[in-house]
Amino acid sequence: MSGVKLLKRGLSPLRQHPWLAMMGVSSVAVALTLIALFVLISCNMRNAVQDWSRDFQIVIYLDPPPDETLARQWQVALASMAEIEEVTYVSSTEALRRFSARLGPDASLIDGIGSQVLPASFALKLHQDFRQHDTVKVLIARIAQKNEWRDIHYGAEWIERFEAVQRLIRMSGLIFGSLLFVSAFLIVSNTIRLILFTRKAEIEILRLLGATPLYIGLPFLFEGGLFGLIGATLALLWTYLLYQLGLQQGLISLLHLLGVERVTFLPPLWQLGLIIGGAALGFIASLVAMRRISSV
Amino acid sequence: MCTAAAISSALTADRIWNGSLEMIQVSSLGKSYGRDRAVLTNISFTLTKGEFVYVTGSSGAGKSTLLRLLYGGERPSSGTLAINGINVSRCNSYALASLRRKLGLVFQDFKLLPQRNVFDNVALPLEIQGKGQGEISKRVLQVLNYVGLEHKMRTLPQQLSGGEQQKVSIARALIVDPLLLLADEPSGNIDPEHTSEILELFKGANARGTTILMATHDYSILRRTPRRTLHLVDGRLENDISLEEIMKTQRTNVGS
Repeated sequence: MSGVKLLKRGLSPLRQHPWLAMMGVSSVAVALTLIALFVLISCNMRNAVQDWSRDFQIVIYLDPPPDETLARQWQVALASMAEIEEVTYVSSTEALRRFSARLGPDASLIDGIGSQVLPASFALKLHQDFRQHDTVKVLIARIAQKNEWRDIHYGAEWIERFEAVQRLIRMSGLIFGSLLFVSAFLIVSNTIRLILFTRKAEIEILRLLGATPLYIGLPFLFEGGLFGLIGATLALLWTYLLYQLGLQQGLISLLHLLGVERVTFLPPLWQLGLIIGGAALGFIASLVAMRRISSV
Repeated sequence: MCTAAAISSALTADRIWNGSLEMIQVSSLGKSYGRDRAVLTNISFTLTKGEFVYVTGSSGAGKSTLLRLLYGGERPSSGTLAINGINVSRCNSYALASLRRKLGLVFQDFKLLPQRNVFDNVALPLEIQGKGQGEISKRVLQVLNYVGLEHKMRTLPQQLSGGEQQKVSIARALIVDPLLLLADEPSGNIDPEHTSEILELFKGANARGTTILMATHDYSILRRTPRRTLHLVDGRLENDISLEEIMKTQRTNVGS
């Protein structure tokens, strides 16, 4: 069957049963809009949580403090490690200055204390992929091999909580995402099955005239894919409209409590994924419907 | 082994086909639904190539079931049936499709696609075979001319009379130049005038070499065009009456 004939046969139900076709496309669009909204909220939640993790750092206290040259050498050595994004050296004098600044009006309390009273330190910021409990532990073990870098501190409890929040988001995403996907799949599959039932007589005649299962099924698979494609495009448009009409402000208000000032729409890769996923959903749902109706 | 390739190579040959004389061989064929509902029991017969044979019997005798088994619409419960040596009951769906592309099927309810006009309905088997538009147009016009409906080629089926719709259905069956034509009560929904016309169409196809098996309970057809007759009673083959016997009986009746 040529592409043009396939296209004509695939589009024929849109002409023959416009309401049913509209129902099919709408069911895909509604189901995928729910998924898109869920992904949009999940992405922004994840971004918010990742923003928190930027503040995470490992501190190595150096006592006695090294001289300037040695400190620079150690800084370069630490910065060369793959996990470390940024190394800041804080000398004893700088540490005292910061402490004093933090005390504010009470800074006079530490007047007269020697400049070497606080230890010098390195503050290490890690690349995003390494801000996990396991990788942090491995990194600390490596750093601690050097005698002068044994006094290492990091927010172990903080990182555990952070990971728990991440796990919660991931699990809820998996559960709700799967439920939404299965619902979308069933809705689309049953709608296409309904369309197939309206064409039961046509399918029977084609079979009697010697049409192969592939000849009969191909236009329906094409039709399912087309429903998915149009439905996914509509879902993306609806999601964008909802985002512009109030969802963006709602998310900003919610995430503001977590210290996040900015929310974003679905990343381009997710948008593309939604369109391709929609077409695939329609195609597979159509395939399943075809198999279930193969007895007609 | 019944595969699409085997059927394709076997059925693309001429009407003499694989050299054997049998078009249909049915042996101890049985069909039942569930344990108690036997529709066909122990049916055996052979159809020679080029024959025109009737299957008669009252409603529920098993005529339609027999035809459905022959074109692979259902699987037999027991026994074997072969078309030109190919065991139909062992065919997979692709092989069955290949077989049906070589058969002509005519039904009481016509089975035309209502949204397609006469031309497109008749063209459908050739479209399924993937023939080019030029060849399709040429063959459709030929066959519509044969059934006398070329002037109605742009008409939708529901705008035609029952007889005309059956002619379209016959044209669709004949367009593939079938080796075997199976007709299930083709005169069931049409008036006597059109019945005569479609009978002539069948006779013409048979004269050109198509083997025909036609189920009917219209005995006026049998009187008008006597042919070998398989008579079913309650799913059993009660009589297999040859044309010679029928002619002899008719002569006797006329003489007395």
